[in-house]
Amino acid sequence: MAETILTVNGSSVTVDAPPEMPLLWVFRDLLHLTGTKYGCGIGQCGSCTVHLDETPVRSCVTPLAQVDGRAITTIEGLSATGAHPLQEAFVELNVAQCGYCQPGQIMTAAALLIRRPNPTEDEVAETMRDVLCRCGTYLRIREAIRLTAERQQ
Amino acid sequence: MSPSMDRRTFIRSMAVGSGGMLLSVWLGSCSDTDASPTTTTQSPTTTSPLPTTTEGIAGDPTAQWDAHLLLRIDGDGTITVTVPKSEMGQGVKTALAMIVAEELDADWSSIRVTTADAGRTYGDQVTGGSLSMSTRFDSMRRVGATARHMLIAAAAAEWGIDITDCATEPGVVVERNGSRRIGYGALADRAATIEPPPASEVELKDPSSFRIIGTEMGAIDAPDIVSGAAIYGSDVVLPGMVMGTVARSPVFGGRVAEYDDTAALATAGVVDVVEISTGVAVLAESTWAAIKGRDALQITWDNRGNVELSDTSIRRTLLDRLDPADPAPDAISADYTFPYFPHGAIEPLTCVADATADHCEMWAATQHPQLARAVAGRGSSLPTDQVTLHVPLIGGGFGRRLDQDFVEEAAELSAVAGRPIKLFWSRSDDLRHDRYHPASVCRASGSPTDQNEINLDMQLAWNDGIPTGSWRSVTDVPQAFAHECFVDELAHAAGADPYEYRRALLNPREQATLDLAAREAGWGNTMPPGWGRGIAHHSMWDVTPTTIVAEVSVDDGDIRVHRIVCALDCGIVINPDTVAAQIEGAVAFALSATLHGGVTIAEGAVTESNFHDAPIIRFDEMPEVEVHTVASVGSPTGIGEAGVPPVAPAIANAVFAASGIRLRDLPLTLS
Ligand code: FES
Ligand code: FES
Repeated sequence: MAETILTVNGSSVTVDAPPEMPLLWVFRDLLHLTGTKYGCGIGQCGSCTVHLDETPVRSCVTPLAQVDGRAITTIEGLSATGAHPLQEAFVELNVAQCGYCQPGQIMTAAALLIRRPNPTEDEVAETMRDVLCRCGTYLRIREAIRLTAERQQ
Repeated sequence: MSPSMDRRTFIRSMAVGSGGMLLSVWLGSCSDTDASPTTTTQSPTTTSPLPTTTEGIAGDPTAQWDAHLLLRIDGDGTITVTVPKSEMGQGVKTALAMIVAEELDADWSSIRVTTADAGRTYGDQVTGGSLSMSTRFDSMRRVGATARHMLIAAAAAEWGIDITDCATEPGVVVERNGSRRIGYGALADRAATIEPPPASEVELKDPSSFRIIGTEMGAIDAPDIVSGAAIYGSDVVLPGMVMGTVARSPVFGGRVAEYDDTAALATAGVVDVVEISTGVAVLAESTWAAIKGRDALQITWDNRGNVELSDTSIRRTLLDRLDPADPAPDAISADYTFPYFPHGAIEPLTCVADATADHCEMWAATQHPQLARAVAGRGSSLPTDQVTLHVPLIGGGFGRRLDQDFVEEAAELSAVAGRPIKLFWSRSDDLRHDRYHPASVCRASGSPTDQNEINLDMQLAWNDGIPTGSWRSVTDVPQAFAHECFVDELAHAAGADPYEYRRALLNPREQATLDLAAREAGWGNTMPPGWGRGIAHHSMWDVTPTTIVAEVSVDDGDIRVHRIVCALDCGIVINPDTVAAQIEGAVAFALSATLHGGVTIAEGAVTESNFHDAPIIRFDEMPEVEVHTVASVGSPTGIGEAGVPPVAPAIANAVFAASGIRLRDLPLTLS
């Protein structure tokens, strides 16, 4: 196999994995960063969303080789203490049910707020429709994004 | 089903080595084999009988007492509640701990919650049937109240006064007519030496003085969920563990005829290929390598004749079983149909197992820990008492994890492989080897002039070659769809308003929810052209009356659900926002089935493979949801399932109001 040096959540790590291995499994199986979730493996559910620099990507369909030196942020690295404004809003509004999809929801929403600090309802819907939640927490996700955007104005 | 009281509860206390007290509570015996999911229609798909054990403990609990944690108070005042039910987003950890904390008069910030391992002395650990609140409300109150009594007795002894001269404030025993106070933590050692009082001496609070029950407590795991630290079944990591994934026959009932694993074994990262009861398993250093290795397997399947099965063949069988329609002169009749529905939890089935020659340790995100422990014993060829089974968080249950096929498979795989394994089910595995909600047809017949005589002939495909199981709200879903759509049809045939017409069918408690939902929804207000409002009522398990009013628009063959108003009576509300969340969840769950349908069966197998062809509703399809509870002092009844059954009929009735078109088959489609 090949050694690759990655920057994950601000730290440099070396992984020994084939270049075609999707990042999702690099995180989960090799680095034991299990906050990033598997839901579909084909880019359909958004559970595995992480940031490459500030761009959200589906880690289940992003091979290791594609990272190309960019900084990776997973849910564990979004904030040091779980105190990112979105994380706080998600707790405050009791968004999660089973919670399994929530890292992907939060990472997707966080990237949106970087790009569009005050997104319109349509922009939120257009972005968040890419992340599935079987428990039906969509309305509260919408509120949490709105609340966070308001607080950041 | 009426909320059952726990069998006699026994409480013992003991000291914790490091200082503190531990209450071990007997919540009624539960043998490993009598724990079948009584709350759901039995799935006939269990292929072999459960192992029989002689370990079920009945009668005198003191004869064989498992010291197990139920309530622990440490010297520093930390209070740990062990919850003998599985958490899958319904909020059971928080709610049961709130009940204990209420009667204990604890300071909520000192409460920690853990999930119990599978055990014999927790009573029935099945988490299904929306039963956790109704069956545990009394016993969890009693646990808290008993501990409070003992803490008071400890303080009274310390101060040399009578217990009647003591009271509590959150987390502290106080002297009624004095200024002395001692925190629970400082009393725990002494309290542990006190004999638990008999139930007759333990006073429960008057519900009007509740200060924790009925207030917003959020979810105890929320901070870990948002930070990614929460551990689900698929997140468990063991040293030396390998990943396993199984190639199973795509055709239901098929078996491996022969296989060639040369290419699989040559795949980088693959460490072994083994055959187990359910198929051919690939073990690898990473999930990715396991998936690649599985793709490289060459397998010839013996399909055992099941390739004849299809949706249409099953539908035909069901229709043949129906009685002819009611021949009464003014009777009308209608047939309603459901396909097979998958569960589609975002976390597919996963299980971690470490089976050795004399012990098997399992991490199974299961809704039925005791049954899981028994089948893990069977899978690893060990007696049940040599199995330890931990229950991590569940990334969506919906009834799928009442079946333990994945747990047995993991235990067997670990035993055969001779090493710790994590069993991985892909999305396709999860979708194609589900225990589906059975396909059904339901013929409703009756006369518009007599709404009390509706006849429902429901035929469910329980045993027609496709594996079936429990699915949130089980057969109440097709039953409520047929009944509530048909009541709407009768109302229109009678020229009556569907709300008024339906009202005459309901008892006062049910009517209260109907009236509340209708009022909040503005029933009767005019809507724009192409819009319609529909109403439906259902009383889940006969205990949680729930009414849904749906507002839809119909445009160019497209059905869009804009607003759902729900009113329900679930008795005393423990954690109010959780009730609202569960209804929002029920709406989303039902809406996926209503608008997107289930799976297709062709040539004995499920055709769909992932979310692209078996969609669930997305963010932009979610309607506004408003939830109203009828004020009640009745015992809590359960809310996990109540919201699901009335959703589809309310939408179908709204589509009729909007378009004049009656839709009787799920998914609802106008084209
Ligand atoms: S797991 Fe990556 S999008 Fe679903
Ligand atoms: S909270 Fe359960 S899948 Fe979203």
